[in-house]
Amino acid sequence: MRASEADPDRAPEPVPAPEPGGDEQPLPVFRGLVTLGTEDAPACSDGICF
Amino acid sequence: MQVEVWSDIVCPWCYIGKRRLEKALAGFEHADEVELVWRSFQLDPTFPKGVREPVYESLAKKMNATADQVRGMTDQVKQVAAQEGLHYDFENGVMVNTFDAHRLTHLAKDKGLGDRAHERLMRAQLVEARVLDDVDTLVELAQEIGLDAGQARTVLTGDTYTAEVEGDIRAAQQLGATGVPFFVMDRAFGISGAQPLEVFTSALEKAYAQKV
Repeated sequence: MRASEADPDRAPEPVPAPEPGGDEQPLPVFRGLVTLGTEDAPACSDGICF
Repeated sequence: MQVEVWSDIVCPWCYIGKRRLEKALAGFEHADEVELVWRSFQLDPTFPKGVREPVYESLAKKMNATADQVRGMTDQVKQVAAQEGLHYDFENGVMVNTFDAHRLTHLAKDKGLGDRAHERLMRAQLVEARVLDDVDTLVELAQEIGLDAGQARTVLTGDTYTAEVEGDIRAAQQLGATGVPFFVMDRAFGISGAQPLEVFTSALEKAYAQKV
């Protein structure tokens, strides 16, 4: 793993999202991305984490 | 392969997610081909600069609950964190605006120390209950990270890296992220939240397979 120090402006160009494969049901939540994992994974939003 | 991580220093699930990503990378045979890019995100950009509030008090106000109720709500995250070897101290934790701390992480990023900066600042906030809008504290932590104290102080007392922090936050918004941690692999796969280890492992494999 290389710790990265990329600049936001040098981020890679978005690539077309791949088609979902296998028996997984990706959640199309984010623009241009196939979302992996479960919908109910804990996260922090609007300053609330619990 | 690039893995971008949007995270806030005060976010307890972000530190847990960091540990799980690290574990997944440790078991990933192509880890040496992964570029890890830390990006800034503010959970509460409206939190006033200069204000310091005990974590429980701050959450209680935000959630319209009592401090005791909030203590109960934090039990789960504390237990999950402990399973990852992280022992959170919310009792003494202090909520601050994290913008300047994020600016410091961008200085670290420029020096090749982005990962160390996020690790040290999250530990300082969540485990050690340090006050992360205090310039002297941040300079001390910067030195531990490997940064020059004078350069860190210059950044912290000015406005350098403001555009970089704002750019990261804007990029997350453009992708539709409203919370953190948020992981993006090669701008193709997104992972929201502190998902189980298997999700990170699977995502690394999928992203790599797509690349080759």
